[in-house]
Amino acid sequence: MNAANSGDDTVIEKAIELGTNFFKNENYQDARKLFEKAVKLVRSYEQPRIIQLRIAANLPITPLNSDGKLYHPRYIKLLDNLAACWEKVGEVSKAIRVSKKMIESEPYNMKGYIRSARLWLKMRDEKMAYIVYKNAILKAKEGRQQRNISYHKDTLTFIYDQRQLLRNKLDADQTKLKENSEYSKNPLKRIVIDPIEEYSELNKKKAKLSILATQQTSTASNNETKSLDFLLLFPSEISVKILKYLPAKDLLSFSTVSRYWNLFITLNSQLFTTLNLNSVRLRQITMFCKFFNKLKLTERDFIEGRRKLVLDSVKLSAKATSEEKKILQTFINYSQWFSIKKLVLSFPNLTTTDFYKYMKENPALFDNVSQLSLLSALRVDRFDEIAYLSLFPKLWKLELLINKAVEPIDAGFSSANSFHLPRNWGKSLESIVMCYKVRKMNNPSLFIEIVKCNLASLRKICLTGIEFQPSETQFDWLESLVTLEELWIENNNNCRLQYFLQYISRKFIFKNLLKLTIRENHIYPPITLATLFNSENPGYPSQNDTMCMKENLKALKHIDFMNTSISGEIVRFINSLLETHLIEYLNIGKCIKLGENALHTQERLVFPNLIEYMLPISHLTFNSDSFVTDTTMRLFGEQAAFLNELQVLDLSHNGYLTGVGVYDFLKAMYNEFQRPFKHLIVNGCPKISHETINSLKGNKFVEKIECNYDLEKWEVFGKNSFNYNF
Amino acid sequence: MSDAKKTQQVVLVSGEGEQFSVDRAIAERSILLKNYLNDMHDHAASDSDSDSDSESNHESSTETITMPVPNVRSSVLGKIVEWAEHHRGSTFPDEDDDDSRKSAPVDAWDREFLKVDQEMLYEIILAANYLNIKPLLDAGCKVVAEMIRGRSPEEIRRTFNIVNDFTPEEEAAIRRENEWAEDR
Repeated sequence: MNAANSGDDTVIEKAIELGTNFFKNENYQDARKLFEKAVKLVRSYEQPRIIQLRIAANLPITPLNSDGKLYHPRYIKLLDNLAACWEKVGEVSKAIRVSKKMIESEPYNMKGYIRSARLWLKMRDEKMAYIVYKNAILKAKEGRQQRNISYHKDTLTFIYDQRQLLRNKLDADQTKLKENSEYSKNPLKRIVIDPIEEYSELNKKKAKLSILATQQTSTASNNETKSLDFLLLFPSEISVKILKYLPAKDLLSFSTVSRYWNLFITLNSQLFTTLNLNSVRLRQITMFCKFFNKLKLTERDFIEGRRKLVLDSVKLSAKATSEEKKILQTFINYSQWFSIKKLVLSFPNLTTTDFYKYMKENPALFDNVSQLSLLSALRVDRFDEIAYLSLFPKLWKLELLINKAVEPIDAGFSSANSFHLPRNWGKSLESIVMCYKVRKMNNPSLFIEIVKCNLASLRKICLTGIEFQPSETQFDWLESLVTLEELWIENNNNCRLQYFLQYISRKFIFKNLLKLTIRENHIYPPITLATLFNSENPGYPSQNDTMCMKENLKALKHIDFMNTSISGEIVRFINSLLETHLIEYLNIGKCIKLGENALHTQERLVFPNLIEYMLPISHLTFNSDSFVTDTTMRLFGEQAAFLNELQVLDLSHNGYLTGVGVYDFLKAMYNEFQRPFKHLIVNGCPKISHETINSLKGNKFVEKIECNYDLEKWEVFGKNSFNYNF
Repeated sequence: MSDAKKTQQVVLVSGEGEQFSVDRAIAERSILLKNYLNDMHDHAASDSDSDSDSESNHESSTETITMPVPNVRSSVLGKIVEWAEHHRGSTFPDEDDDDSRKSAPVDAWDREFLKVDQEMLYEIILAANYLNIKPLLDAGCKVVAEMIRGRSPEEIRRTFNIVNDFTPEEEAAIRRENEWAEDR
C-alpha cells in the first residue's frame, strides 16, 4: 500500500532501467520481453492509482485522447522503448504498430510521431514519414493553442526540419537526374546538411557500387585473390566498428580513397570519439575545428537524444610554449559542438587562473566531463585558484598535476580573493589525484578547499608534493571522507605517519579503508608505542585508542609505509588490529627505524624476526637500502614456515645482497613447501650476477625472477608510484 | 542451464543443406541461436507458464534440435563451428565494458584462425554479425582494422580494388583540409 501512496512507481522505474541495460548490451529479445511485461502491468493499473501517479509526476489529469483514458506517466516511454526493441530484432512492422499506439494514447506527445516517422523511414516509405510529421505539426499547433501545452523548442524545430527535408526529398525525387549530375559536378562545395538525404544517397551509391564490385570479382574470379571493398560489402554498423579501431589520422587520410569512403567517413561522426591532439600547432587546431564543424549529427543522434557530438576522450597539448594560450582558447571557443567525457589537458606554462579565464567562455563544453586530468602551473599569488573546477559538475575522476609556480605577468594583479566551490560540488567524485611538482608552496589550500566539499562518494585520494601543516592536526581534513577506500600520501613536506596514526586512534573515520600508503620525505624520530600513546600511560594504548584504530583499519589489506620512521613494534601492533586473514601487500622498505624497541636486539636484521608475529603476507616489499644482506636472507629462510602465503618478494635496490643470499632463501623455501617460489624481484641489486640469475631462472626453486640492473630508484619523483609523464 | 541441456545436440544446417552436429553449448555461442533455442524451443516444451519468469527446466534433453542457418555457406559455418569448439571453455572480456573489449589485442589463436583470404574473412565477419557472436565479430573487425591501419590511400585502393574517382585537384584539396591530423 505504501508504494501505491507514494508518487513514484519503483517497479516500473526498475524495469525501465533493467530493460535499458539489456538494450545497451544488445540483448534486444530480453529487453523486448521486459518492456512488454511492463506495458501490460501499467495497463492493468486502476485509474485512481494512475491519477495519483500523474499528479505526483506533475502531469495533467484531463484525458486528451479519444478513448478518454489516462495512462501511466511512463507509459509512452515504455512503448517507445518497446518499439525500439522490435525495430532492433527486425520486426519493423510490429514496431510501427507500437508507435501508433503511442500516438493514439497521447496524441499531443511528440515522441510517438518521431518514433513512427523514423520507422517509416526505415521501411523506406518517405511518404508515410512525411505524413506522420505533418500530423505531428498539426497536433502540436492544436495542443499549443487549445490545450495550452508547451513543447520543447528543439523537438518542434526537429519535426519542422524533418518535414521540410522530406518534402524537398519527395519533390526532388521527380527531378532526381538533375540533382545527381550537379552533385558529381561539384562535390567539394557541397555541405552536408541533411543526414537522411545523405544516407539514402549513400545507400544508393553503395547499391550501385556493390553490383559493380561483384561484377568485377565474378569476371576476375580466375585470379587467386579476390579483393573487395569491405565498406561496400558490410552493413554500416560493421564498417563503423572496424573504422573505430583506427586513429583519426588514418580516417582522415582514408577520406581521399574514393568519394564513397569520403562520404562514409564524414557522415559517421561517431567514428571520431577519441581525439589525440597532443603537441599540436595553432594552425592545426584551427583546421581541426573547421573539420569538425563539417561533421553533422545524424537523425539517429537526434532521436537518441544527442544534441552534441559526444567525444569519449580528448587529449590536448601544444607543441610550442608560445602557442599554448591561443591553442587552448581556440579549442574552447570553437568547440560548440562537443560534449566531452574524458578530457586531458597538458599546458605546463598556463596557470589555473588562465584555465578559468578561457573555460568560462564556453562552459557547456565541460558539463559532461566525468574524467579530468589537468597539467598546469600555478600563479604564486593565486595558488588557491580553483574556480575553474566549478565548471565541472559531473566529475568522478580528477587529476591535478601542478608543474610549477609562476610569477604573474599581467600588470596590476589583484591579490587572491578566495573562491569557494559550491558545497554540493563533487558529490559524484570518486577519485582525486593531486601531484605537485612545486615544493615550498606554503599553502595546501587548493586541496583543502576541495576536500571541504561534500565528497560523499570519494573512494580514492592520492597526494604528492603538497606542503602539510607542520602540526599534529595535519590530517584533520580526512574527517568527512568516510567512504575512502584508498589513501595514498607520498613525498609531501612535513607529512608524518606519526600524526596520521595518532589521528586515527582518536577519531573514527573510515568504513572501508582497503589500501593505505603513507611515505614520508624526511627522517623523523622513531614511531614507537611510547611516542604514539603518551598521554596517560606512556607506551600503552588505552582501550579507546585501540578500539578506534581497529575500527578504522578493519578492512585494510594493503599497507605501504615505505621510507617512514616506523618501528617494528608498531608494525606488529597494526598487524594485531587487522581483521583480515591475509595481508595482500606490505611494503616496509627503507624503514630505518624498524629495529627500534625490537624484541630481538639484532639490529638491522629485525625484519625476518618480525614475520613470525605477523599475519600471512602475499606480497612483501622490502627494498631500497633496507639493509638486506645475505645474513638477512638466511634468517628469512629459517622463517620459511611462516611464509606459506608469500607469492611475491621484492628486494630491489639492496646494494649488499648477493646471489648467495638469494639462493639460500629460495632453497629454504623449496625445502619447506616442495614447490618453486612464485615471483622474486631483485631489480637494481648490483652484487647479484647475471650468471646467478640465469642459473636460478632455469631451476626448480623459482618460477619468475626479475633482475633489471638499471631500474631507477623509487625516490625519483613520480616514478614507481605514478606513471605520469611530466 | 542444466548440464543435460548443455550436451544436448543441435544440428546446424548450412545454406547448401550440409549438417553440422554440435553440443547445444557450442551453438549457444551465437546469441541469435541461443535466443532462438530458449524462446521457441523451450517455450514449446512448456508453453503453459509462458507468462512467468521461471526458466523452463522440465524438458526432454535427449531430443536433437535441427536449426537451419540458410544465410551461411557450408565452408563458413564449418569455420565458425571450429572457432566455437576451440573456445568451448573460453571466457571473454566483459561485454558491457566497451573499453576493455576495444583495447584487448586479438587472441593469438584467433589471429591464425583468421588468416584466410579476404572473401572468407568477410564472410566470417558477416556470419558472426548475423549469428551475433560478439567475440568473433570483434576479432574479425580488429583483423580488418589492422589490415588498413597506417596505410596510405593508394595502398588501401590496391588492397581493396577501389577505383579512385577523385580528380587530382579534389584529392589535394581534401588532403589540405585534413592536415590537422597528420604526423606532428
